[in-house]
Amino acid sequence: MALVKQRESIQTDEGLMLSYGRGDIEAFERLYLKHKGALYRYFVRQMGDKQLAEDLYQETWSRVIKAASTYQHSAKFTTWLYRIAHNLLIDHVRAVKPLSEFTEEQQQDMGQEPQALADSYRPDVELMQAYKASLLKTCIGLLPQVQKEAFLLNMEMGFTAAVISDIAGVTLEATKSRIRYAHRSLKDCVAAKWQGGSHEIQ
Amino acid sequence: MKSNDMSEQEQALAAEIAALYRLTAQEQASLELDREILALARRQLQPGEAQGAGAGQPPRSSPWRAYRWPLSTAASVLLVAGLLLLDPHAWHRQAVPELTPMPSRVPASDAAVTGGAPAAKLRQAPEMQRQTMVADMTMPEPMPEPMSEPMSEPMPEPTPEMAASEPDLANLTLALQRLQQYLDEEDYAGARTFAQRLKARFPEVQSAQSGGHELWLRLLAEIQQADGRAR
Repeated sequence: MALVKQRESIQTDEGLMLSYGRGDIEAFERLYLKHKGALYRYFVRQMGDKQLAEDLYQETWSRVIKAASTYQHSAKFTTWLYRIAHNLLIDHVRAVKPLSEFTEEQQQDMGQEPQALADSYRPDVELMQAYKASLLKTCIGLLPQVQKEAFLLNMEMGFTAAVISDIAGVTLEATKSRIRYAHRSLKDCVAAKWQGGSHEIQ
Repeated sequence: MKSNDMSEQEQALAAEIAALYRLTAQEQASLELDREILALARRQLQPGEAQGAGAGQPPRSSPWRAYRWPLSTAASVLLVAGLLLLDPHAWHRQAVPELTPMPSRVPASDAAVTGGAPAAKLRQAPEMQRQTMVADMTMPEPMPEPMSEPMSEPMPEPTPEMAASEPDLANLTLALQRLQQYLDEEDYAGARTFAQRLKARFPEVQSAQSGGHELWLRLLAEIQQADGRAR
């Protein structure tokens, strides 16, 4: 029974992190494989600049690795991981330019994609969904930074508003509002772009 | 976000968006990036890299890094001391141009003779000059007799070119000009004092090879003639 419990504990993110802290490299590899995609998209979708996103992604893992020896099970691993990521992102954005400028530039960068996709449109259900998904991707890029982050954390990790508010250091109500506004904005944005491409959103 | 926080409409919207989102959420880090991160994780476990940290201790830094300031300071002191040992006159050559305009900056001896306290001089001097005066007073320079009265006109400051090429000769020339000025003003007492100081500071002026030797002899002769007349 104790052995089963121990094994279960090892299989959790926190257990894997503790194992890595004790020298088990395989534990880290499992942890990395589990979270690498979502964390990568967290940066890539927000930054617009892939190279920069990869730098921050790498730096986040680097901090996780360096802190492994002192990691304690007081916080959930994913909350801790994304708090590191959030802080790095905020530090970078503050160092480079104000948040508003960051968002505006990204809007310009990402505003070109739908038209190109609209040209390749074909009335096939699967393709139609793919097209709408690409519109959504573009629209996510157009969201204000804070809404985008809340939305991505919710989508990628399934974090609740409470966890997201903990990561981002804002109130629960503010986080709920951000997610709600993000959903509405995305719906409107996709619909507008869909109609702009002579289609109707279903 | 918890579903019970949202209306049915909002939930449907969220579900639709989530479904669409998953269709494009395929981006992954490159294999190269994966390798780098996993290599870093391995390195962290290697002895010497973070073994101390693995036991819950703070990471060790190398002694060079830990004591870089004391070590670099000690190295600088050693370097300066070594240079001075190699060339003891280097300090003197550096110091002379600073001290050379003697007549314009004789506050220590001046103050001693004229009764004015150095502090009083300091209060009157502009900031730049005050710094120089402080430097002068703290220099362990043996001064000959104090001058009888302060200079009326400041000496022209040596140009950087002069100081850089032949500082001693340039300064000697300036000093000789100043001595000439004393004699022109018929201030023989001042001239005598200044000549003594000049001789002490530029002993090479007594050598026939010195650039200002002839002028020095002529000025000395003038002083002696003046002394003779006074007697």
